[in-house]
Amino acid sequence: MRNQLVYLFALLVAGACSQAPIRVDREINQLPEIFPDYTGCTIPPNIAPLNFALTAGYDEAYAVFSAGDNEWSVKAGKNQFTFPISKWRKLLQLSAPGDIQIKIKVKKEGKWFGYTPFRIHIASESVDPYIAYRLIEPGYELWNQMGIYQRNLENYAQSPIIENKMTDNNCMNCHSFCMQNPDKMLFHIRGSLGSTVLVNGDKIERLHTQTDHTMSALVYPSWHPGGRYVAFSVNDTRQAFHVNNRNRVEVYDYKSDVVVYDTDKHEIITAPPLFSEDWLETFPAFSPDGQTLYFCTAPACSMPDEFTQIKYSLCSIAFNPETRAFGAVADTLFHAKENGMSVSFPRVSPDGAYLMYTKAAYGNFSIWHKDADLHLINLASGNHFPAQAANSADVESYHSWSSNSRWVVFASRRLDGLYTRLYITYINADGQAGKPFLVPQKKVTFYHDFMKSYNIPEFITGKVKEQGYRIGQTAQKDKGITVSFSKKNKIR
Amino acid sequence: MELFFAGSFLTEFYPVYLSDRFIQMVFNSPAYKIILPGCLLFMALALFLQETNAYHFFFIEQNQLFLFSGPYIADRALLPGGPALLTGEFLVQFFILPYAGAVITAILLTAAGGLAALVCRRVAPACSLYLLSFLPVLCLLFMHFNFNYLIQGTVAFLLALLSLCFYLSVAAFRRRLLLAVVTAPFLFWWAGAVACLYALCVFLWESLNRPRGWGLTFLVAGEVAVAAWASVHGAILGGYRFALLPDMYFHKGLAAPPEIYFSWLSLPLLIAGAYVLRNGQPQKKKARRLTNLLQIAAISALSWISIPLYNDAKSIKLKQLDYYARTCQWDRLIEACQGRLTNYLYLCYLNMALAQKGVLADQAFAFDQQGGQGLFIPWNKTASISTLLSELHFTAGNIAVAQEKAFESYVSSLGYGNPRMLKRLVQTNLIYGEYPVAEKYLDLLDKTFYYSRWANSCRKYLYNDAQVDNDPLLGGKRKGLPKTNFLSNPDQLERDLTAVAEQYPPNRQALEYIGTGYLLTKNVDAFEKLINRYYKTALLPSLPASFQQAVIILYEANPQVWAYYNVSESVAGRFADFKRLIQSNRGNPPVAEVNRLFGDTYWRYYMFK
Repeated sequence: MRNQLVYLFALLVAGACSQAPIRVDREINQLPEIFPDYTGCTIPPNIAPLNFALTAGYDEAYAVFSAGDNEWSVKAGKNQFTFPISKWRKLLQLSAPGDIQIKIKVKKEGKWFGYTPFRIHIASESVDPYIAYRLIEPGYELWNQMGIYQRNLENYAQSPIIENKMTDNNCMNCHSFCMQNPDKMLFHIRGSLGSTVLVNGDKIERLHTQTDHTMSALVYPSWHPGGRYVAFSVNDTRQAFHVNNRNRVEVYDYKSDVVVYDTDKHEIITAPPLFSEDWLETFPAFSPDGQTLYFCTAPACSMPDEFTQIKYSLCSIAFNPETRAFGAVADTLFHAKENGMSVSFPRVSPDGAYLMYTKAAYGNFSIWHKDADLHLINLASGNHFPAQAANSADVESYHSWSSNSRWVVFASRRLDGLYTRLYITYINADGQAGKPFLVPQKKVTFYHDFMKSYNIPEFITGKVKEQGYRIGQTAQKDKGITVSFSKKNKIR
Repeated sequence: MELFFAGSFLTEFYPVYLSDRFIQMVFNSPAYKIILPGCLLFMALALFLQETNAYHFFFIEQNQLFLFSGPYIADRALLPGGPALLTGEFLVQFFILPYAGAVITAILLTAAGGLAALVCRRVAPACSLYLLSFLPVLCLLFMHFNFNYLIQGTVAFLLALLSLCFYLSVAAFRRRLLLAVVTAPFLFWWAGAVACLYALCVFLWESLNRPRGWGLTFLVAGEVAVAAWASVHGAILGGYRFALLPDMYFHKGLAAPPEIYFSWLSLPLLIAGAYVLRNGQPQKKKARRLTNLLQIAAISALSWISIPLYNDAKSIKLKQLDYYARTCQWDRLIEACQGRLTNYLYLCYLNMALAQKGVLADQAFAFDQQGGQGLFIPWNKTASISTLLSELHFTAGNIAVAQEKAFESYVSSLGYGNPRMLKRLVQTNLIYGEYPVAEKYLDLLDKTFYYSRWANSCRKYLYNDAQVDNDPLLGGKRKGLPKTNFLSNPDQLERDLTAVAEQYPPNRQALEYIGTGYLLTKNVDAFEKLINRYYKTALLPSLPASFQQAVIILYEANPQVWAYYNVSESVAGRFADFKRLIQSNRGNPPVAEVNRLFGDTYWRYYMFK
C-alpha cells in the first residue's frame, strides 16, 4: 500500500513537472508580464522557489527552465507556476553561479505562443537562511494582532518570535540582532508592559530604560559587534497626517539624542556630540569593527511647522569599547545642507566596505516618504551612489545586510503604494545593486490578500529559538532591571 | 429514544374538557414533544430579541468580517476553538439582514435549551426540570447583549452540551470514559476553552455516581490540561484564562464581565441539581402541575428581573443612530433625535445627518445642542468612536482624517475587520487616486457574502480618474482636497475644514461645520471673522438661519449691519419678540416660554445653554 502511494505521488509530481512537447505556433517578441517580476533578478542559490503568475489570461501555459543541458518544464495550475522545492533546489545547485533561462509558452484560442525567454541570475553567495520582521497593519496608532516573526527563506515557513497576545496585547517594535545572531536580540514592548526585552540565548532580561536624564525610553537600536553595547536613540516622536499628500503620514521628532547602553553595567553612556540640545541625533549604527558609531543629525527646528525643512546629515564618531570613550568631534559623511536631502537608517555591511542609507527630501522617518531611495557609501573612497537597480518610484526604506555582505533586504511600498513588502537585492563587490526580487511566497496572490505590512526586516543566520511564552512571562511578571544614566557622562 | 423536551409541561395543563385519549395522542406525538416547546422558546426569544435588540445585531455585524477565502479560514481553523470561531463569524455575517440577528441568536439559544433539557433528561429521566434547562439559555442570553462577546462562545457551549449528551447516553462506564477521552481533545480544538467545562462536567457526573474506576475520569481533565498547557507554552494562546476559561470568547483586549461565567456555572449546577432532584418528581398529577407551574413562574420571574440587568439598553439608541447613518436614513436619524439629548455621540450623529441634508447651519439649534463636542467627539482610541469620527470627517470633506480614522477602526475591530470602514477606505483611496490599494480592498470585500455586489459596483472607478471626477460623491470630495498640503491637527480642525471649504465652495458642509462649531462653543469672535471673510463669496453667498441669528447677537445695536448680512425680516421680527419676552421678565427669564417660542433659535442656546 505504501509503495502504491509513493508511486502515485511520483506519478503526480512527474505529471506536474514533465516536459511538455509543445510546438509553438508563433513567437511573441517580448518578455512575458509576470508577477512577481523576477525577470533579470539576481537570486541566492538557497532561496525558496520563486513561484510566479502570468498577468495576462491564457488557456494553458508552461514555463520551460533551461540551465546548461538541463531542461525542465512546469505547467501552470491554479493561475500560477508552482515549483516543487526539491527540483528547484537541484536546479539552483546545478546553475549557481550562472543563469537560468525561462521561456513561457501559452495557449490561447487553440494556438501556442512563445514569449522571449527571460533570465534569472543565480549568485554564488548564499543568503542568510532567515529574516525577522514585524507584521502590523500600516496604520496610524491602533493595532490588533501583531508580532515579530521569522521566515525561513529556503522554504516558505514563517513562525512567530513573539506575538502581542503573549504581552497583554501591547505593541512591540524595534527588534534588533547582534551581527545577525539569532540567539542575541532585543525588542521593545510599549504600553502597560513598557520595557525592553533582551534575549541572550536562554537568558531573558527585562529592562526599564527611561532615566531622569533621557527624554524617553530607548528607541532605535544598533548592536555593537562585540555584543556588550547597544547604541540607541531616545526620541520625542510625534505623528501627523497630510491633508493631501501621497506620503499620508509624517513621523517627526521634536527632540532626539543618541546614547549607548552597556549591557554588563546596565548603564547608559553618551557624549556631547550625541546629546546636544540644539541638534537632533538619531538612528545610530555601529561599524562592524566596533570602533565607529554612525548617526543622523539635524539642527533643531520648529516642528511640526517646519517639517519639510528638517534635513538630517550623516555623521560618525569614534568609540572605544574598552574605555567606553567617544571621540571629541563627529565627522560628517553626508552634509544635508549642501546636498539638500536628508539621510536615515545608516547600516554598515558586515565586511565594513559599504554603508547603506535611505535618502529622502526631508525628515527622518523615510518609510512614509515616496521619494525615499537606498544609497550607498564606499567607506574606503567616500563615494556616494544610489542603489539604482534596487530603487523604485515608491518608498524604499528600512534595510539590513546579510552576514556575508552580499545581500540586502529592504522594505518597499512599490506593490500597492501602502503595504510594505520585502525585497532582496544583491550587492556585488563594487557595491552595485542588482534588480531586487520580492521575497517569494508559495501562493502568488499572498501579498495582495495580506493586510499587514512588513517592518524592520533583519537577516539572521539561523532560527530564533521559539520561546514566546517565556518572553511573555518575563515581560509580564519580571520586575526588570532599571537602567541608569552614567554619572561620568559629560553632557549639557 | 429519549426525545427533546420529553414529558413537556403542557401535558400537565391540558384542558379538562378534551378526552384523555386525544390528549395522550397529541402530547405523546414526537412532533409535539420535539417541535412545539422548541418553537415556543424560539419564538419568544426571536420576538424579544428583535423587539429590543434589532439594532444591536446590525451593530455587531459591523465589527466582524467573514471572508470566503482560503487563507482567512486556514488561519483560524487550526487554532484551539478555531472551528467554533469560524462558525460564529460565519453566522454574524448574516446579521446585516433584517431579523437575521434575532432569528439566528434565538436558534442558537433554543438549541442550547434543547440540549440542556436533554442533559437533564439523562440525569433525571423522571423529572421535568424546566427551570434548570432554561438556566443556560438565560445565562448565554446575557452575553449576547454584549457587543464584545463572540458568538464563538455560544457555538462552543453548544458543542460542549452536545458532547455531554452523547457522553451521558452511554450506559457502560468504560465506553463512556473512552468516548470522553476521545471527545475532549477534539472539543478543545473545535470549541476551545469549553473543553475544560466539559471535563469538569464529566468529572462531576462520575463523582456523583461513583462507578468502579471513576477516578479515571481525571484522564479527561488531564487531557484538557495538557492541551491548554501546550497551547499556552507553545504561544498559541495568550494565557491560561484563554485556554481554560470563557475569556476566550470575549474581546481579547478587554476584561470579560462576570456574566460570561454564568453559563459555565449553570451547567454543573444543572447536572448537580438534576441529580439531587432525580427522584423528586411528584407522583400526583396535581402536584406535578403545581411543580411545573412554579418552575414556569420562576423562569418568568428570573427573566423579568435579570434581563434588564444585563441587557445593554443604554446603547440601543446609539446603535439605532449608527444604523441609520450607515444606511443613510438621515430623516429617520433626525426624527430619532427629537427631544432631550444628553449624549454627545447622539449629537454627533444628529449634526452629521443635518449636514448630509445641507441644513446643519439652518436647523442645528432646533435640537438640544450641548456644545462643540456634539460636532466632533474627541477620539478615545476605540473602534466605535473611530468609526463615528470617520463618518463625521467624511461628511465634512476632511478626507485625510476620515481615512485615518477608518483605518484605526478597521484594525481595532473585534473580528477580522470592519466592512463599513473597508468601504470607506475604498472610497478615500479612490478619491486620492490610490487605485492599487483601493483594488486590494475591493478584492477583499469581493470575498464577502453581502458586500461583494458593492465592491463590483465600484470597480468602474479603478484607474479611471474621469469616472471618479464625474461621480457626485467621490468627485465632489476629490475636488475638495486641499491643493496646499499641510499636517492635519486634531486641535485645529477648523484649519483642515477651511482648506476644504476654500478648495471647493460647493461643499457647504465644511464651512457650516466650522461656523456651527463656533456658535456651539459661543466663540462669537471667531464666528465674526469667519463671516467677515467669507460672506458674499462663493463659500457663503447667503447666511443660513442660525448664522443670521448670530449676526444679530454680534451687532444687536447696529441694525445696518443686519441689512448688510441680509438678515431676513422674519429673523429680525422673531428677535424683537424674543427680546421683548426677555426684557419683560428681567431677572427671571421665562425658560419654558422661551423654549416653546424660541427653542429653535441660536439666541436661546446662547443665553440659556
